[in-house]
Amino acid sequence: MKKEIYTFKEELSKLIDQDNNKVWLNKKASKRIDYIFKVGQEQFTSSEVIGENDEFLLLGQNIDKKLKDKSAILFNDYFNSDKN
Amino acid sequence: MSKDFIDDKKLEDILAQVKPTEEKIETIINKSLNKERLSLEETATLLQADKPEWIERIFKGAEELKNKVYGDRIVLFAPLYVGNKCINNCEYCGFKASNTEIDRCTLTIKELQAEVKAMEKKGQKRSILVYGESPDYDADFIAKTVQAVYDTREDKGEIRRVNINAAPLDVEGYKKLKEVGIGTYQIFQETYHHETYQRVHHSGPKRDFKWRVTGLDRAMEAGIDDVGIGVLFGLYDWKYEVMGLLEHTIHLEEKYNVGPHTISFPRLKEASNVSIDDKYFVNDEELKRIIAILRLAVPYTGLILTAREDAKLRREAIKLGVSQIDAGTKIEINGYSDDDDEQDINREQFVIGDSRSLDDVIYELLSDGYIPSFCTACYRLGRTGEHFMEFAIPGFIKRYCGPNALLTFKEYLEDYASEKTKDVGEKLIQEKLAEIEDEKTKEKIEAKLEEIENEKRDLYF
Repeated sequence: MKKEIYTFKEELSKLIDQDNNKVWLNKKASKRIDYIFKVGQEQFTSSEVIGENDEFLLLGQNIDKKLKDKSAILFNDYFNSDKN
Repeated sequence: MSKDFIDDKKLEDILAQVKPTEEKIETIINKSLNKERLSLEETATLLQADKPEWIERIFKGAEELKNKVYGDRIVLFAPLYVGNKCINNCEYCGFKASNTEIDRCTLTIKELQAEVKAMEKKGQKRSILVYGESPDYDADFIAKTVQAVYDTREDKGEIRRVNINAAPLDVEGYKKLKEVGIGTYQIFQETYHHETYQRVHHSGPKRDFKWRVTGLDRAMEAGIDDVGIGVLFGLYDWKYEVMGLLEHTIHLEEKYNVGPHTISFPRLKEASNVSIDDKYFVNDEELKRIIAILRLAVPYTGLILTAREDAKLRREAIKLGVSQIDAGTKIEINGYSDDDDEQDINREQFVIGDSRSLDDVIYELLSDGYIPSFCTACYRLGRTGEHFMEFAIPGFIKRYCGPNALLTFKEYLEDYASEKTKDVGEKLIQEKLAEIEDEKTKEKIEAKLEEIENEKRDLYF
């Protein structure tokens, strides 16, 4: 599968429990970050960083360690693969 | 290219055809209290509701809705005038090209940094940069100034959100500004009435109604989903202009799935070398009706009331639906770093009505039970555009906006407040904490407040 943002979303959706997690991808722009897409629903818990590079930031809510690790691997595969 | 979506006749016909009744008004207010955006017909019904008892009902409804959606928070910001060169000739504006009495200047980056430091020393965290329309103020120049503001820090101070009020750009221009992380891009149409628009815009690019009214479409196409609209009330019939604002909102919602982030409603004011027919001037009572009806028409859109208005009117208008105000405002070029508090009309776009300091405004807000907020969390966590629509989920404000207001206000109290403001402010924070029923949430907020006391900054949920 070609590595595009929409395919990343598709693969991420397979990992996420739509009712009990929320993960959203953002693009960094100075002090703000721009929302690109989300999977799952608002969980009203603190946001945590799942993956990050110079350009993108993947945030999540209500993510356990196992899911965080899987999502981080996927993020790195898509956005940090040059460095891996 | 987008089409001009304002049909004067359609808006005027709707205004002429609606017939308000007590029952209709009640139904419309209830729809709004259910946090649904009103239609053009429903809004026209409220606009034509002229009986005193109906107006009173609309005010009560707007107050109730404001409390429901925004609670007791008021977001604070300050404008920063970067340059007043202008190639337009707008009948109502002191910066018009034909005004030879005004001092024309543009801040150098060094002067801009001095202005930002002066603002940061007072506790400002959010600013809107204002530019005249000139080839000198192109997208590259605006981007450079935005970056300079973000990069300027004074001790613990920093501007965390930079909004823009400038001329409409092309898509490529907006893309450059998206790259540097602007907040809201604001373009005021001034008047949505075509004939009036042509009459008051004598020359310059601003004379092109269509280029301006589609300016935010191009911003959206460039990926800027955070935009602000506005009208300069006093140029044409205020009821028509409210309809224009709503039509613009509906257009953006239908085409881009997200409406404007904010609506502004400045009134015509005295300015250098400006004399204008007062036929459509808006009085205080009418301005309050405008605010209340806009609040009901667009429950989730921020409403901005600026320091053009005097302190008394601002105090009354806040409860009717205003969610953001500027405070400690200086609209003179170099105004923040210049110690002189006297207004010089030849260096400013208009005369301001509320020239109190940020601390004085905050003290009054606290006395009225409001929590001043410098929050920028949504835009730091990607909660914008389509994602921002989760704002509508019950609990969002309680869990995020309220706590974040407390945290940013606590920073202000620690770093910048006068003794009297600090006393009242600390008490109000304790009162607000006591109102939080969920113990876990309260503990989390208390932990962050303690971190702020221990010198940590920029904390948010």
